[in-house]
Amino acid sequence: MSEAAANQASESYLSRGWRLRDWLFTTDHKRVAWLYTVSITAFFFLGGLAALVIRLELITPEGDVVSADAYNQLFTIHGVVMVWFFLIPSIPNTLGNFLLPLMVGAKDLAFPKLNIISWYIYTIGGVFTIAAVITSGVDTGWTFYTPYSTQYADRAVVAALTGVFVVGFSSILTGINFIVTTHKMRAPGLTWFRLPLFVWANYATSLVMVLATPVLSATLILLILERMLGIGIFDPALGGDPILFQHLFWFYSHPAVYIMILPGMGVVSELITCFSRKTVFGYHGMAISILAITVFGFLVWGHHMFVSGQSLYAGLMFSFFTFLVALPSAIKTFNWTATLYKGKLIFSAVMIYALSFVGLFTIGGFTGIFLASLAVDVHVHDTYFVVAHFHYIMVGGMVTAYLGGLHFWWPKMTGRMYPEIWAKVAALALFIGFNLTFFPQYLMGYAGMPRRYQTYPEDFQILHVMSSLGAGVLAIGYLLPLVYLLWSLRWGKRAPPNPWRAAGLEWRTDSPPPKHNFLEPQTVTGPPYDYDTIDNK
Amino acid sequence: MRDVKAPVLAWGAYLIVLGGSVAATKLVSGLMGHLFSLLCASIMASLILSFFMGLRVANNLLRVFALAGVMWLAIMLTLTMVDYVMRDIGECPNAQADDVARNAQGCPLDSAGNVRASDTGA
Amino acid sequence: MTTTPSTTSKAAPDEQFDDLTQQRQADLMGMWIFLATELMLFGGIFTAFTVYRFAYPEVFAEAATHLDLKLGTFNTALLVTSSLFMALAERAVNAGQRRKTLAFLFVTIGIGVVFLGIKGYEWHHEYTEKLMPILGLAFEYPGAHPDRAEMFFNFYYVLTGLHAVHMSLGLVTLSVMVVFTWRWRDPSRLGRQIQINGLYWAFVDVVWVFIFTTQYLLRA
Repeated sequence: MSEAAANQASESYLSRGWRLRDWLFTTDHKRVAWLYTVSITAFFFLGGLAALVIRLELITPEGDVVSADAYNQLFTIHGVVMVWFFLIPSIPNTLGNFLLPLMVGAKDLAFPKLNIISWYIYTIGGVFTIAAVITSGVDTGWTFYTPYSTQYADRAVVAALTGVFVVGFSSILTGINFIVTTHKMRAPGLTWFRLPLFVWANYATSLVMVLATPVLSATLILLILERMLGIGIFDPALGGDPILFQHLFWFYSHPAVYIMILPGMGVVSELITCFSRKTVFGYHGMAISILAITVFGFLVWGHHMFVSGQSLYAGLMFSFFTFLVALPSAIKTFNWTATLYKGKLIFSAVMIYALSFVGLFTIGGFTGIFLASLAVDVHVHDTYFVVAHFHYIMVGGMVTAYLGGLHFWWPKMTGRMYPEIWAKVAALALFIGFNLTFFPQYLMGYAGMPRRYQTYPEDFQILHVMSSLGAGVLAIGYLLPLVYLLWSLRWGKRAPPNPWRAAGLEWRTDSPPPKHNFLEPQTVTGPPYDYDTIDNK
Repeated sequence: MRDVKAPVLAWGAYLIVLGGSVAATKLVSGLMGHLFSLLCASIMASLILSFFMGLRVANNLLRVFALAGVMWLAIMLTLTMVDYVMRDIGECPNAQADDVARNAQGCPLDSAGNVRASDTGA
Repeated sequence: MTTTPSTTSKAAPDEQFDDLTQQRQADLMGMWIFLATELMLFGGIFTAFTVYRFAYPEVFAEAATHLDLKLGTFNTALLVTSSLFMALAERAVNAGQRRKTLAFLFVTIGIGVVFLGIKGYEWHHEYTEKLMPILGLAFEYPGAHPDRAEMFFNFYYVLTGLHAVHMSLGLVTLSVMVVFTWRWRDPSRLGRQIQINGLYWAFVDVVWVFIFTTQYLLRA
């Protein structure tokens, strides 16, 4: 290789090519990760804005900020945007896209063109859906339940469904890409039980994406056909069963919860082991638990339908399977805490995020057990108890892990360090704001406050005010990182290849990495997370 | 060209099974005929998978993926049907398998002897 | 195979792969996973069908007799023949026989078009019999329980329609393969592409087997 060519090969993936088409037509997984990061951040703040207006409305018992109809549209926007366009693609398509090839020692994903195509599908589908939802005021909630969505809602439901349907393809393409990359592109010596848990988690997530998303696509096709052509598959007048829609919908949408949380578990495993300077406790158990959650996750969807009119016996079965999911989840939680035990803990901002995740996920998971019990669920179904439960998993778990991971790998992605003090402030604001927002919702939910209501009895006002206050603090926790991370792009300290002295192939290359990730092919000779060896060097 | 015999034979076998399946529909009415037709469909699908799609010579990993697809379909079908074998959606949407009493229209009564509200309109 | 000593060797793998074997295995695996997603797509609709087939067995069995069994059987035989020619085209391209590959691809496409034609004729026939409850068209079903029978026909149109969409997409990609075969630039790459297309085409056939069996054959 000539010297000029060698220089070009060692150049960072960011240093050259700043015309618009160098980004929009890139196939570099690291650049696609950035495209995704920009898109999901935009969607996230849009969804967050809707949530803020909802919390503003709920400060008083009367409906005074927005009309009842607008309130329905607001929670629809919040749900549609956050679930379909933020939570599902968040970690896999940003951190996963960036890190998966680096972590397995590959030059890129197996299908780089599919990768950029998936971003286009996602972004165009997302913008289209949101345009349809906002301009026509779709008010079905993010779940599109029949018969309301097929026979009564008089808005652009078909357009919204089409958008969500299209975005499904981006999930499928990402899933295929990740699975094939993990199977076929690992560096020599990188056996399955030497893979970082983040790779395991993204692999499992991809399995769910591939096996579940098409069922959602089928269900949405049936809804679209029912509305457009009058082919009534769920129409009771033809002997159809609207509850069947819920079966098919939740066959996707419950495993989708694991699309959202599994990558978060993967991220947190990486963070905790690094900042405890200890190998992950029970690595094999952690990896197998991930797979167990993936499989069990497909057997439990009926727990969303305990009071829908589903057969009681089906309810019993789904309740039993739901309890089973608690086992691998508990194994993971215990192993995280066991990893911390006798570790040399470093309370960096990243570690605060990771510890927040473990605590909040535990509370969210624990209240999930209440909801899995048939009799208790009759009492708390469709109340704020449920709202609080899944926000503890989705925000307390997933978003916290995402922000933690973003900070942890920020030096690798950008080549810059972020200001640690501000990051700590933001991490604490997130933890405090989150609990202030959602813990009161457990209390009012248990006391009977139903979800999706614009007005409420005065007894609940103090809890609602606390919750709304918390939402304000939470907003600071989100806005701060946006500001200082952008600031660090220009003024942050230059990052060395491995600022945290972390294990893993991604830290062996430059920050930011060259276009083909590594200058020399990597081989792996030891177990993952070998922090004893790293620290004794 | 190598290995032309196998796909042609598979094609012939497929047509024979297809003929058998259609004949069964005509000759054996009812459940047995239907089950036979479904069995024939599985054989026809297996022929295509093994001989035209190369699953016969593919590596084990690909077979595992093919099998996983079928397994997950089975999960969806089985768990969904658990609900519907226990619940009659035909006449009375809210019927449960343990309902004992029935009213004049054949709709089950709850423990207080009332027809469930959602069943009356049926 | 000719040897190409130039630096831009046509037998080189794409830049993210180490060698051609890895690329070939990755392509195949990607396609099989995609087919698994297709299976789940149709599987969702088949699950819904099973629910109603179980709930209304007599009505559905009766309604199935209103479909044209002869044309359906003929179409099934046609489609498997087209799959056979696709498999032969795959073997021809691997043997480096350009003309045979082209001929087999043309036969495959031709049979596919005939299949869609017959399917269209069936739909038209059902339309004239007033058995097409789409877009508010009149549905005049002669048997008992016309509402439940309408549900059967709903599934019939959803399944055959979605299958026809998949067939049409397959015909488009096969036509692209014809163009590539015509040019014959990089036979080993072409071989991979035709194999991937062959998988898709055969899978569409597998789906049809189950559509045919559940819609036409489970009759009274």
